[in-house]
Amino acid sequence: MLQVRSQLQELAGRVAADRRGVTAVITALALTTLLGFCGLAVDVVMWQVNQRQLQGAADQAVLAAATAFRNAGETGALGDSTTAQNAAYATAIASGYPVASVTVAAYNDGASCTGDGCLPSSCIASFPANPVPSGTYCPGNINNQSVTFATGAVIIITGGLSTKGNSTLAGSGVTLYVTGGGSINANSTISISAPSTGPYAGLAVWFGDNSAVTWDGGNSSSFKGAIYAPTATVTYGGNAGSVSTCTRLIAGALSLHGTSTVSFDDTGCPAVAGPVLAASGVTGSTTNTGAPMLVQ
Amino acid sequence: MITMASLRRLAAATGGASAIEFAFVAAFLILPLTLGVYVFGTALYSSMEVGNAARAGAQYVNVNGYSSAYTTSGNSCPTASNTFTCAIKSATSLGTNVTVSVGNAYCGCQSGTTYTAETFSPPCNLCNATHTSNCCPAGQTPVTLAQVNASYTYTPIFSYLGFGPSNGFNLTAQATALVY
Repeated sequence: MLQVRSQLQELAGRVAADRRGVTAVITALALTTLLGFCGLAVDVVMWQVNQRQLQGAADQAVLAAATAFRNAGETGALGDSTTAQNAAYATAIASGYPVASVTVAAYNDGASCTGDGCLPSSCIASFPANPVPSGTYCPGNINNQSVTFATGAVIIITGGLSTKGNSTLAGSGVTLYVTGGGSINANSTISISAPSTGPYAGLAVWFGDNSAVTWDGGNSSSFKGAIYAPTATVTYGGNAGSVSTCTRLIAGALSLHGTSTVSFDDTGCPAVAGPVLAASGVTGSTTNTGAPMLVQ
Repeated sequence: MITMASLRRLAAATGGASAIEFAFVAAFLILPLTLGVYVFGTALYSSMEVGNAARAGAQYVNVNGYSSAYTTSGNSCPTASNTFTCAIKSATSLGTNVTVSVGNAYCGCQSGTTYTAETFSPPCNLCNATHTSNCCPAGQTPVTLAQVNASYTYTPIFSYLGFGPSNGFNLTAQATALVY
């Protein structure tokens, strides 16, 4: 017994003193830490993958909400729409996320939108004294008024642009953004030239929705810059005359009646990139020169 | 010149033992570990890309409406009639190797946050005098959904000495689209 014990002691002493195979031992010890970190790496990646899947489901739900909102023809706040919320719920739940983990937060983009490209939700009901600075206006009918916009102003007009009775709207380096259509009547005159630099260079008037735009009566208007009404029907009627230099008219549809005359004069204009497009889809007769019209 | 004496000296030598041990450890531990990390990482990346492809398909269905004919199988981009394939291709880096198809549309009944998956097929109707079976009970809204399936074969760079799959792993992903 004693002999076995002394043999064991001797063996332990030999193993302790043995320097061979030391790398393997160190590796074995290091392996516990190494494998621990491998596990951590896998965990983090799986966490990211789950995060990605959840984000994907959320994206899908939002897209479903927006599409449902659009298809229902709704115009109010997206977040307040029951149709949109239901679409988001249905998609998220059907994507495998339980109802408890799904929330649809109401979000009203009108109030929180800042910076370029945002349409403010409030407007000034009448134009201030000339020159009118940049801002959002909802002037309603402009009757027998003479309005001059400040040079370089960006004017947003909501609820439509309607002029009559010898009104004049004038400005240079000005861009008008109009929603709600246009009705330019009876001896009123618009004389706008677009800015030549900046983000709205070359853009004189932009009709932002599909409301009708009508030039009527004996008005004479002149534009220097593009009239951009991509979804609107633009009508020239009565004795409406429009003499524009360096103008491109882009319209959803164009209609000419009576003795209306639309002249586009390219004399002395800077070279414009892109083709001069033939006016197709134009009804009625017209005197137009240069034909820089695009009717979609 | 190699002689018996020099071979005996080499066998008895203990110098450089650590280097040889390291060579063994590196060959059997570090190299497979590094390769494993690489393979695992690229496989996960592919798996996420397959998920992206499925979601891109679902978004396409969501926006453009349902058609069981949407498939990337046998279709190339660009062709005018097959924007579905183009939508998938632009959403992933897997190119034409990922296959995305749209499953059958199915119905669900919903009321706010309550959603019940149904087994009947579209058209999804509300129960009334005309529709008495396979319909959503009053107070619920019938919704039409479609599952978009994406699959991709991931081939590891290393076959693990025959222990790994020889034809690669099949990665799949599903996304659900609300159909209008």
